[in-house]
Amino acid sequence: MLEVSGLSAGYGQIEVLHGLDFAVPKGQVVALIGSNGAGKTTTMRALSGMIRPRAGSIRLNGREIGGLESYDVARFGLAHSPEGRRVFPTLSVEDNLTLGAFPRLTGSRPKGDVAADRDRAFELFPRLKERRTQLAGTLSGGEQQMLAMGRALMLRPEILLLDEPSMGLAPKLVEEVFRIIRQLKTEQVTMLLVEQFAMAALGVADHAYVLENGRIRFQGPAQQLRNDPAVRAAYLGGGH
Amino acid sequence: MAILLQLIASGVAVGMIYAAIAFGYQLTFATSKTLNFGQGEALALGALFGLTLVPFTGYWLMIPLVLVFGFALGAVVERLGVRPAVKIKSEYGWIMATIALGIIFKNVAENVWGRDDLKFPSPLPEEAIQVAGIRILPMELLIVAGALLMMLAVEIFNRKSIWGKAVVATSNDIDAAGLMGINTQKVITLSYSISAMTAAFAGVLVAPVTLTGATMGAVLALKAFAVAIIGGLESGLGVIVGGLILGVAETLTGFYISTGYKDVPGLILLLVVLSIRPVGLFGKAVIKKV
Amino acid sequence: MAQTLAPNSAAAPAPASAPGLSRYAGLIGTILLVAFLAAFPHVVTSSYYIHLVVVIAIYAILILGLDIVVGYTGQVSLGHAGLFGVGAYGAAVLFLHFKLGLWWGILAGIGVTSAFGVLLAVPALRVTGPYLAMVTLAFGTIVQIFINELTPLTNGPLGITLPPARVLDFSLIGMQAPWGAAGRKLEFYYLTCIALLGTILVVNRVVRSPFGRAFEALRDSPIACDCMGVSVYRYKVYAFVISAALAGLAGALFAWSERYVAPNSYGFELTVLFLLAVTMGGRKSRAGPIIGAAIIVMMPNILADIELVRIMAGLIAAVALVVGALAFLRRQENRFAILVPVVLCLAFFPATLALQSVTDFRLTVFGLMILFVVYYLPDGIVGFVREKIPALRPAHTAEGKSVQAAGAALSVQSGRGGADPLLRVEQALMQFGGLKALAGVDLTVRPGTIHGLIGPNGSGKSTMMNVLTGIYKPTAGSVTLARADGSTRLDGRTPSEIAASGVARTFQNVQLFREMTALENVLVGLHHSFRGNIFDAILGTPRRKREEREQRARAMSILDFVGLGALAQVEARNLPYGKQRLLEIGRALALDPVLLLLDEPAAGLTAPDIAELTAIIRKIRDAGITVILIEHHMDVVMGLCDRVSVLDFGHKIAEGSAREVQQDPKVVEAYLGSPVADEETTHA
Repeated sequence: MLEVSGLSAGYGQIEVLHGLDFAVPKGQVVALIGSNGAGKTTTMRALSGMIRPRAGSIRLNGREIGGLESYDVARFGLAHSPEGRRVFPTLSVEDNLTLGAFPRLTGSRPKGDVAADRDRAFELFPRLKERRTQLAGTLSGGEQQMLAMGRALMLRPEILLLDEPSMGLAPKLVEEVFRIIRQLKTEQVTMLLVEQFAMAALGVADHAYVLENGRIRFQGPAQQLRNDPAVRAAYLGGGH
Repeated sequence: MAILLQLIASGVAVGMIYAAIAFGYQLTFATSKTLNFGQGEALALGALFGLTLVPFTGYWLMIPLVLVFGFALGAVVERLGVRPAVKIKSEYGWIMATIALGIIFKNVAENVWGRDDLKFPSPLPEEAIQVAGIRILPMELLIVAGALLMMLAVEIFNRKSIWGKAVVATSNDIDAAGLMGINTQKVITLSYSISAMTAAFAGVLVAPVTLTGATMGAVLALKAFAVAIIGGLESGLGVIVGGLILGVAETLTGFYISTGYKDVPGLILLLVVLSIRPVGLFGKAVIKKV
Repeated sequence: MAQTLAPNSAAAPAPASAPGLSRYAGLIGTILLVAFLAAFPHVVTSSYYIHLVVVIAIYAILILGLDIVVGYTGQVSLGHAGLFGVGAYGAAVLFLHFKLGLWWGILAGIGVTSAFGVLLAVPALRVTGPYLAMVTLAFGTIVQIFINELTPLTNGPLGITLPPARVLDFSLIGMQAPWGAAGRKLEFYYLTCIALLGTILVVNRVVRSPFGRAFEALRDSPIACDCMGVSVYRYKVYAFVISAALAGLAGALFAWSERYVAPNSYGFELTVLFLLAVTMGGRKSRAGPIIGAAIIVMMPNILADIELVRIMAGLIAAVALVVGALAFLRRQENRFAILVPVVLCLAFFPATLALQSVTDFRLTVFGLMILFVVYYLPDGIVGFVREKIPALRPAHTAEGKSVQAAGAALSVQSGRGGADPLLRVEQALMQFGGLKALAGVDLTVRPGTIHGLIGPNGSGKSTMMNVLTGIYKPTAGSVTLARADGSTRLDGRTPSEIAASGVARTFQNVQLFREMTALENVLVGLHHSFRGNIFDAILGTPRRKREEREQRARAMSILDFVGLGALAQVEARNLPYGKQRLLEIGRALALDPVLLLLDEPAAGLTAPDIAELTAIIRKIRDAGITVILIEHHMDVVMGLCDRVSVLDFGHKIAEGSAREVQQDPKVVEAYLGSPVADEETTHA
């Protein structure tokens, strides 16, 4: 579904990513883990068009999307729930969800039944249903995370990018978020998950890549990596 | 006492004009962090264009045509003045470019309509009527009603229509809006179009009670900026409050001190507010991120 | 969006300029100017043209002052016509009421306008960009209104008429003028020329002094400026006052030159012309304002002559065609973008043929010129020429080439008792609304050590950094620094004050003064050691010269210490990223700090750069300077730090030696997270 090869990107003079190769097969959950500064969020941004890649290719279902503006990338079915959630604080929960379906409502993607999808989102996130008319800026961190995920799902995306969903959340909420991710997995939603906290990500992913200093150090089935000391070394140094 | 109420009533009408123009500043600043230094010229051009149309269409039919004119003007300003500067990340660029466009528009207006001030025919009777003991011009009532209606219309657009919500989303967080598939460039152009449209509309509202000419917009726009600052460039209600404060302060100054100094309170208010609270009275303080 | 006026020339590395020629380019230019001005009235005897040159010189004086605000501090000022008016009216009113002549007028012009400059600076202090532009516009409008209304003082809309100026009164010493009646008529002309040359000298001295560097620093990074001990507020006021003083001088001369002042001459249109002049001529230069002044004074005259306009339009069309064709053939991408200005230039010519007079469209022409300059000539004519002819680059950037390093790079901190802590943070609490970025953190740092501060994203490390350097005022808790003369509380003090107390820092996102050279960046850090004042700078006293020499030498030795000696004359924005990080450290060292805070210094660096960085940090510690290091690169932390504190969610969760912390299970969990409870049973 998503194939990335030779991806290099950065900000201004700084090159953060140095030629990444990875893939997200359809229906699978792939995790991208690594310590802070390794380049995980930069990778997400390059995929969703927030920054322009310097080299390499990004193909979504065979179509090249590298270098497109983010609003064009969304049109082709890549939904990105960004780092820090970034819900629209002065719009209601319901409006936030509606905007997730913007390309469907304005003709860039097949319309489908937007209202039904919104109800589905409320089923998946009951907390949001209670607060449907509340302004998104007044929600708690965990609720905003759910809203960001629900909003991304409203696109009916081909692939869902989840950028650090656990950031800033208390452990209980992290559990809830990952429970939802697991449920989405049973519904065959293709996901690319970026997480600073390796353990949680490895618990839910099929396959994982460990990023260090902008390069993929190693990869493997998530189950295998959970007990691999090399993962810990990638975060805390010592051991390679 | 009656005089005081009278002055306040006139001040309210003037204040609503300021609020209407300031509304336009807010809109473009919210979506693009830029604003049109030639907003006054958009107002003047709206009034002059309307003046030309009135003999053919009458006042009321002229209004939608002026709205379309303003809409198109805003898109031109954004395309020529703002977009290239934003692309090269030059703040100086869009400030000077919108000033330059404003100067060009004013000069063209002077050549097409002449340098003298013209009289704009009033759609309503020009005699004051008595409302609760105060003498008010019917046009002043129209100004207040028109400005409020226009701001209400834009608010409804923002709340109900999907493109309106897209505008709000872009103002909240332009990157996240892009991720939703919203073409934020189009949104910025749209916000400039609406902004110039409201200025042009304000022009045909205020023209009957004042002199119409190429220079009518300049000081209005500066004082409207004061109102936008006082209201905070991100808050909607603030501009109405700010406009009212300024309008009333002006009419009171004009009467009790001298008409020559009428424009001063607004400008001094601007300086004082920015000295004390740089984000404006209603603005949100920004946490520095280093 | 970046918010400076930084002209956006592509970051091409500055080619080595021929030091010989560029050093003298300024001198040669000045000599030519002096010769031209001296000879002009004898070659062209028409009093009309002599008057024109006087007006150009007067405008040039003002625009040179405007350049300080626009070019150096990087702000748009829409109020300089107002300051011009204040100067003019200062002189005129003095005559009207007290019958005082030219020289008193000049004094009043400078003095009163400087005071207005202070007044203008107050609301301008805390705002930038469009807000500042509006503040200056409001100011200018208020000035016009008051001049118009205060009729008893200013004669209102009628204006004030002045007699011919009496420059030198030889009758006072019982003599005849040595240069005869013809010469007398030129006295005002020569006075103005001398004023212009004096202005060029003063502006030159100011911009090459610490003041000039401070102005540029506050444009490029106000936060770094404050953290280097250079108060943004103070220098903004200086910039406005100097600019206003020159505007006042120009205004007074203008009043006596035109012999008539009226309120509506000093409005928005004039202010925009001044901005056009400074931008089209070229910012941050002396020649630019003069060229700009000449353009805006002569343009109305040119536009009045339709034949001349047609000739010029034809020339412009021809040049545009040639340049456009060349560019079209050479460029690879975006070729059609070049068509727009070319077509406009070509269309201009037939338009002028059709019209009988373009005077009514004068303002449209100015507007188009502004648009043209903003998009196609952002560095102005002078900037364009400098880019094409490197030999004409500003001389002062070549001065440093011959500077030898001298003086110790680091001021060695005498060893204190190792047991007493240098920095003590007690229960630091930093709350933003409901969010506790720091939830009561204790931190003790011993002198002469490298102390690491680590933790996952959002743990509060950068917040702690900002609290220590005064960017945030802590909600509660205290920060105490032990100095040779007793302990001092840091919480609640401004970044400048904390910098002056001996705490220096670098930034997570590099905050260099991009348009200044590496040497100049370090010189800003050395600002605290300059004892001279503005008059030292203007007069070029021996003290000033000596200080400058010494500090340049010291700055060179600091650059050598961080390995940037060979790149001293390169603009910071053109340095490779790794070198930029090292320069930030060098700049921080210039503060002679007892405590150096490094915020992710290794971020984005390649392995060899990191090795260089590590070596430098060790040398810093060996000189006795205490270091606090925030870093994600675990290897760097392990290799350097004597002690490490770990933050998570605003709490300190572990502290100890690097090895201890690396093994601590709480730390491992903080970084990797704990396994999330599964609903199904998991395999071992």
